[in-house]
Amino acid sequence: MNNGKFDGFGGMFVPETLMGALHELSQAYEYYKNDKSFQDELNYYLTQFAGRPTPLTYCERLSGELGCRLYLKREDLLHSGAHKINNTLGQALLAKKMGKKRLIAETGAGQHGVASAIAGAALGLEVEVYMGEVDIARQELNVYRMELLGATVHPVKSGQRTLKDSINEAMRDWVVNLADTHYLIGSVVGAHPFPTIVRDFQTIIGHETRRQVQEREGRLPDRIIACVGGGSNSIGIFHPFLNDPVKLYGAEAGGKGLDTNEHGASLCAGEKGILHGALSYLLSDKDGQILPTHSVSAGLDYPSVGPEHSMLKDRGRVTYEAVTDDEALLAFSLLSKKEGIIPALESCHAIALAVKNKGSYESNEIVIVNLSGRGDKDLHEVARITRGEI
Amino acid sequence: MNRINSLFSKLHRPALIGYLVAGDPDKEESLRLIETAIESGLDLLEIGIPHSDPIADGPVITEAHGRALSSGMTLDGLFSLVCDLRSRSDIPVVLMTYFNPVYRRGVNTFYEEAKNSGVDGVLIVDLPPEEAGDVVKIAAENDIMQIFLVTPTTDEKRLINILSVSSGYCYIVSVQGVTGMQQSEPKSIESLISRVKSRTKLPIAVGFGINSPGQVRNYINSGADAVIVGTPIVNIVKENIGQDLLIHSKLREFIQSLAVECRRDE
Repeated sequence: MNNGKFDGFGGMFVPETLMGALHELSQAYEYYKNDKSFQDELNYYLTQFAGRPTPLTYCERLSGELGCRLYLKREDLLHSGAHKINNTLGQALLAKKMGKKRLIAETGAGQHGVASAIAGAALGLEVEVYMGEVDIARQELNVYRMELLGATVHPVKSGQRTLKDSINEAMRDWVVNLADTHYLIGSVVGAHPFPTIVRDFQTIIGHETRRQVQEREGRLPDRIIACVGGGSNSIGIFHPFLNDPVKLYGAEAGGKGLDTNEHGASLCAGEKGILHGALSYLLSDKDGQILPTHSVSAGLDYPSVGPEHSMLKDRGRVTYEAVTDDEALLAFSLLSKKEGIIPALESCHAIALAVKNKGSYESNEIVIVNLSGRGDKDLHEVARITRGEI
Repeated sequence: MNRINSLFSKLHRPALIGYLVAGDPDKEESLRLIETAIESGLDLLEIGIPHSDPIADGPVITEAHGRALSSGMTLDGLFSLVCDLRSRSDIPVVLMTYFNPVYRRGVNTFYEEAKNSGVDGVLIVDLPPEEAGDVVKIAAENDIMQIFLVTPTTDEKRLINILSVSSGYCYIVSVQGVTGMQQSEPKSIESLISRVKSRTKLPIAVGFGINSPGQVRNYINSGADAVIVGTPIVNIVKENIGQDLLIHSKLREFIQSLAVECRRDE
């Protein structure tokens, strides 16, 4: 791979001040990814601490309703409540091997911040999290969680004061503190080697799924559906199936609809552009200014997307569709009532897409939805919206 | 000859480079501030193209980008500002920008417009040489100097690579950080300057974190051919917005104090 290019997407569009650190990280990762003791140690934490493997749950009632065999990959059952910990444990361990003492991370809803704080606490690394003021107000409980876990939360006051701006601040911190600090980025975004590193740590989702569905059904699934913000849970489950005859679907944040300016659907409605070090599909205006985004789920509220997804879109390998806030909220209630599982609003986008495809399923078709996180964090927000307390 | 090359070949003393953000606090006042800065002794002008996400900039310049965008600054507005300036001044002009505005405009179109409005050089902050192949070629076709950053963490191999695509001058970032941060180890910059000098004939300009005549003097003594001052100038704008006379007199006084250091050995 040449500077981490995915058919021309990705790359290293960063100031010279960061190039040294990115090369250092690349070299360390190239070494440790093939180091058995590193992989054994990571596997220990993933199984004994985080709770892997996660189940593949058959949805009896929804399957009947949709006319397919619907399974959920239960990343919501992981410690911390979402897939994010697969990546934070991996990167934190890598940082420790590199001799770094301090982790910095950005967070939107707080899930990646919490997962970083957990990994830092478990491995004895200092953690500082950048979080937009708007997100801090929306996710008070996660701020408290991070602090309880020993992390420091820095409010970000620039720009839209959400996820994108938190990444900006984390990058500014990293430039100053390269020597002792690792930037633990939370998704498959940013400059090379981050999209590759984060993907590799998340592909455990797809590898487990593959084994589990083979055991249960004796064959591969027909479709896999996952939500796409930055795109880490989706690339994690898609990647091991890219060369198989499995249809892959990514659900983007349609917000209030693609005909409004309030969404986060960079693949469905964006153009090629550069943000946070990578060339990818991006929501920016004709002058190159990054556009404000919106999604009911903070985790999908990001104006760009991992470069590998841009490649998969252009290759036609993955179908990306936008799911609106309203459709996601319906899925939130549907899965809770029909299956007894309260999903994260991010994951609701994937469930909603499975519901939208009703009528297109052949009988006995196997459909797997990656349930990337649990919905506890969203209860307050959903109650506020559905009870009309806006 | 390109105005940047012409400046450095004629000037037998260190050059003073000043940075202002286009459209800060608005287009008209921004042009007046630029003219004041030039009259006060700048030898070369760097104009920042405002961006929504200036990741290499500290809080002072980040806020200035925000002010400029809020005032309605656009790429069209920027090029017309440079045209206006060009009708009154022959100072070399370098655009400092992030890559997305250039990319979205179309690299060819951007450089043609830059040339037509009288721009002499472009520095794209988040475009390292590895990603700059086409841009360097297009810049050369338009007789625009493509300037790159060298930092304290740039190793020998990268330095050679950077210098091989650089023209105009070599921009040494004096601190490992964002714009406006304070200096830490002037000694290491001295060795970086001499390391770069041994590898290139390009003039060496040092920037990021310079805020006093004393520091200007130090960098000149360390071998810099030019010093770049940005954050303190932008800070004067920030702190005196709306005070028409004061903002210009403070800017004049500050830039003159730096210009004196550059002219001391004349």
